[in-house]
Amino acid sequence: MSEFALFLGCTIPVRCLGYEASTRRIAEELGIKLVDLNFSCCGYPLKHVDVVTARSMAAANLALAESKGLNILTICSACSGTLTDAKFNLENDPSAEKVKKELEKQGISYKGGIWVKHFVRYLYEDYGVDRIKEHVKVPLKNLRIAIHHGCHYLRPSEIYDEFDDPEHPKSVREIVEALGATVVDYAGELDCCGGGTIAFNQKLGAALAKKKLDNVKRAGADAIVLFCPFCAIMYDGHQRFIEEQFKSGPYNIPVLFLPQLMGLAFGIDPSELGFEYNAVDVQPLLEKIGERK
Amino acid sequence: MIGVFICECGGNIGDVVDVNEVKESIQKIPDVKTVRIERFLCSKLGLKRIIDSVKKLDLDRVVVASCSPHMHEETFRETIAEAGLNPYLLVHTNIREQDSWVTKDKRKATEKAIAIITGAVNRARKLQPLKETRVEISRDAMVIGGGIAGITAALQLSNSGYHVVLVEKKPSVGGRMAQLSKVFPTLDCAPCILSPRMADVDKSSNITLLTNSEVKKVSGGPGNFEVRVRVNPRGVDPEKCLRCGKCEKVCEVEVPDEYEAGLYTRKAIHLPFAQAVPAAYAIDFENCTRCGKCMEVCPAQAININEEEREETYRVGAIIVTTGYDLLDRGEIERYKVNESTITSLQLERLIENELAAGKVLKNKQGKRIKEVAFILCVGSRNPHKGVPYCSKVCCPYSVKEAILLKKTLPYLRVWIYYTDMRMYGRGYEELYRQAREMNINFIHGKPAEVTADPQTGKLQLIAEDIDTGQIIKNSPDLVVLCPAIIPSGDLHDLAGRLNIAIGEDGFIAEKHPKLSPVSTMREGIYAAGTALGPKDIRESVVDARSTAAKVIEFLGEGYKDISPIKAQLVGECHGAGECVKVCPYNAITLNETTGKAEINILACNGCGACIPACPYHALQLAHYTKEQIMEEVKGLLSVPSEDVKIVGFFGDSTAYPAADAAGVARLNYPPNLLIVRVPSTALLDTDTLIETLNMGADGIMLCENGDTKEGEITEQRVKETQTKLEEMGLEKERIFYQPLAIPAYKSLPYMVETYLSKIKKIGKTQTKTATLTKK
Amino acid sequence: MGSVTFMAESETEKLVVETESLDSSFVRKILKHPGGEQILVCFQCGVCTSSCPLRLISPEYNPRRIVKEALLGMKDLVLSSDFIWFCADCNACTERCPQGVNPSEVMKAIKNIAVEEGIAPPAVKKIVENIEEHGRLYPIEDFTQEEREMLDLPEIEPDVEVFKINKKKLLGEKT
Repeated sequence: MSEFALFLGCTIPVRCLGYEASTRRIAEELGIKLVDLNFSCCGYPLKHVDVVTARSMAAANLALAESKGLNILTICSACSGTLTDAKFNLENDPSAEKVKKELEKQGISYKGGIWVKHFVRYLYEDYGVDRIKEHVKVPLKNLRIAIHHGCHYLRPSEIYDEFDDPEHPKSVREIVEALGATVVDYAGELDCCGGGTIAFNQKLGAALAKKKLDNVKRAGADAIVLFCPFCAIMYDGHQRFIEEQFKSGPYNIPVLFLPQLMGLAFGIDPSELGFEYNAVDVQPLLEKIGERK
Repeated sequence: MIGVFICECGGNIGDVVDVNEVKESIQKIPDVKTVRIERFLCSKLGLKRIIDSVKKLDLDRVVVASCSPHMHEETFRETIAEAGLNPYLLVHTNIREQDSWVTKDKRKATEKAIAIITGAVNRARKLQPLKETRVEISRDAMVIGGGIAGITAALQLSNSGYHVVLVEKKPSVGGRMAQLSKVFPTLDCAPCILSPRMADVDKSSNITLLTNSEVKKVSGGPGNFEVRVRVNPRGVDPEKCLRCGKCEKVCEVEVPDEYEAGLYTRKAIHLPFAQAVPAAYAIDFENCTRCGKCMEVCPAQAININEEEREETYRVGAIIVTTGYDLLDRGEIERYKVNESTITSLQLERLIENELAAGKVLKNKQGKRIKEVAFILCVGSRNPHKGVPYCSKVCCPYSVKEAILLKKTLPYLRVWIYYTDMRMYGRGYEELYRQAREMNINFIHGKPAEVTADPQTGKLQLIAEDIDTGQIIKNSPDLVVLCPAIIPSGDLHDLAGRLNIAIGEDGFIAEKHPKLSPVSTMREGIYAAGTALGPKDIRESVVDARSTAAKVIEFLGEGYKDISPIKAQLVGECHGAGECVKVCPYNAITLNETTGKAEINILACNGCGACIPACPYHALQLAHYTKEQIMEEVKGLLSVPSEDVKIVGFFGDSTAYPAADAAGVARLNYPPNLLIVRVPSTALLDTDTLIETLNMGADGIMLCENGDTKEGEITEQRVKETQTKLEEMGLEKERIFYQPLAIPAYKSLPYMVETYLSKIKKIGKTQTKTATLTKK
Repeated sequence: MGSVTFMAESETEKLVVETESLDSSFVRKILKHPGGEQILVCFQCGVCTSSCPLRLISPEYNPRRIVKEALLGMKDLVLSSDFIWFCADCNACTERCPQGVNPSEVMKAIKNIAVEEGIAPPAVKKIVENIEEHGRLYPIEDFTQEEREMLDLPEIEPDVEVFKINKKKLLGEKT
């Protein structure tokens, strides 16, 4: 049985409990053992302040997992970006000397013995779409899904070993199609959710998210599927705010985390998938696939 | 009485090597009568000083320490001949490409120079006067690639009385120019000005035109290349074909037409294009189903679907490479090529020829009239990240030309050109740019990041910043024309390997010198012209082609060559063993039927020296590279005491030595522990010589030779034998190493040296081990 | 027909940038900063701006122009702009820049320099405080623990420390 350290980051355990719950549930279903370590913030929010400190914090988290001999799976794309970037930087960039010095000062050493991947990348690259398909009991035949990849899952492609094409990604598409759903193409598919901006300018960040909601609505999708807490906060948590702020919509577009969608396809009861924490009502969606809450 | 002349090479050497310190050291060597330092030894003044010194000081041996002998050995030989000395009493040694250009540390570069020149002085002492022999060479030339450059070169040569074999891989000559509509800046019709040249090629009795053909193997040497050409079956006899087209009508195979850049289709049996030369149909056998329907309907019985490929061998004195270019179709362009309304510039040329020229209005695949066209420049160019690092040069002028053609014919079109810089470099090009602006063609300084097609409506969209106004501009054109990076033709890499010529960092053929020896490759007798050397326009390709013709004429000259005296020669009693005959890679030695003694054919003899160690009676030697001469050079090379380990590199002159030079030209760095000895080929060296080299103070020996040759195989075998011998003597077998090295691999030389050096460093100096090296 | 107001002469002079007023040490600072090493090779093609998600929302947000202003040494202009903080860090610019300038990392380098010089939005201060104190961006309230319990999620440590940070040092405050 494969065992990994689960990196949740700061946001999910507080603000996206449905994401955490559904992830743990489907991991159980797929036979993937997730171990909880006392990780700290990955360092992402510190990048504005000092990139070296941020990378050192990320590397220290990597070192913690290395001390337990565990590779890391993360379900937050921002954490995935920060941790992967720290590892890449240490292995390839001469400027990493500064990071190594900071780590040394605190008696921490990361030897590069473990890797970190976004959970979704792991599912596609290592676990395998065919194996996922084997667990599908309720193919989501009627569902039209708009995939929001977000930014840090794919970019910069250099640090992710170019496992998927950042301009024409197919990894998540294959997973969603394996669940039986139809993937809907929409304009601005690679657009950013604005999560990085919203802390500094709420209106600007929300305007970015609005663009996608408009495009998804136009494409006639039943739901947006994503795999990052920031993106969820933008499209799900702020959906009403956007409608009010910009007098747009109404959207009524449920926003699901990929594990939630997978859980539905695996025939797991919705009550185990944390839907009470989704801001936009998912009831119409559940009804569409013949489920009752 | 030896005279040593050290060149500073205008700083190329002098700024790194302390030439005064070198002079002081070399002056101390016995028999060195004078050491002179010159700023530019190869200049008229420098050469005169050599002549004066030789005469005044009565010198009988001359050492020149400067650039690579491959640059000026001839010049210096002629110079000392002028002073009355036999030209072979010269050692031209390399302290530039193989020292100052590749060594960062000035101290070490100076020490290396001292070692190199000491070796050269030692060698000079042992040289003997030699004389050249005159021999006939082939006056024929081969041109590989039948585009405008190849056609021009072939015609220039044939008009000058030389016979040319023109090898073209497609069924017709014409190349890329035949695919163009009109050329800039004159807006002449491209096929109209090209066709007469193509017809001339056909008519010329001095040109053997081989279409559907590829060069498969090249052997021999400059003046006497033997080229094996594979002629792929055409399936149609050009003499009989009436071009009636009946075959085409019945053919059931339809594939994208590469002449039309994939915009339209053709049949498996097809006329390459209207002005094709040879003017005949051809069968694309990759897609032909061999149904035979075409054969049945041909009124001239010109078709044979069972035609087989054949091989032809040609003997030529010189070769010109004109293989042309392709357009980059991966990387950055994938962000812009989204559907059939995003086309490349080459496809636009075909669209203009097929639709506009026929008086039609441009329509898209859905039949809707095209009203707005956007060009995007620099797609894949100037992008080390996802394309090529260089600028493709001709896209600025050709996009302006295409825009003008569109606007002239369909004045209602709105035309946009999105550029990063407008590079209108040639004569008449800037004026063309003004003309475009006067026609109200919109120029936007700003590159769109991508082209998107709305999944719901299919509408194209580009967003770019118009940097000049600082505004973001959104555009929904009906047609987007991409200008992709220009890359070398796909087969160039393999062909270069077969010809043993270097490819530059950018993938195009490396020129001997980018300023002063353009169109010449690193290899004598092989030249290149046109876009095989990099992006350029038709005029420049024509100029290149004419230059190569001139170089070929100069090289082939009157049809003879004065053969170098550096050949194998019998110096002892021949016992008729015949081992030399067996080993010679060039079949240059035969045993006389009557006397039973070995006879060496100096024209065929390549001076590689493989026969020397083969003779069990030691009856052969290689003139100018006798064992004594080589050992003396090695002794001198290793004479400078040092804590560092020393590696003696025996580099074969056909490829390994020029590769080391190429590394120097590219200013690659490698450790100065490597001291290179130039030998005609490493097959010359016997086991004794190699072990003696270790005896003299070498800690490692690298033998570098062209791996694909017999000389390379012989060397590999000899190294294995020597390694066995070393182990018997209680020494590490790592101390001798065979490194195959062809010219195109020059980029890997630093890696090879560093890897071998670290191995030797691990096992330490030879002298510190058991000093039980015995001479046989 | 409106009237035209001409600017006072002393005001028009302000529109001209004297090269003496440019700060060349600014570029050197960026070059030394991890991520800023490639800023010099930018040739102003504009692909970063046309890839930037903010370009259609707020055309004043222009990474290409910020890079150019930084290259010229217009330090005050760059550090005082709001826009460096609005970067969403989506990496579209870095992914597509033909010359490998890495604009999203250059933006971070500029922000880091701004913080060193004491310029930072208040949100930044709060972030650093939380991380120094709790090792997290959001403190864990009892309420959160209860919610987690209801979903059968494991209890989490409210305070974690894997790497020590010093808020005063990071924000350039005097101790």
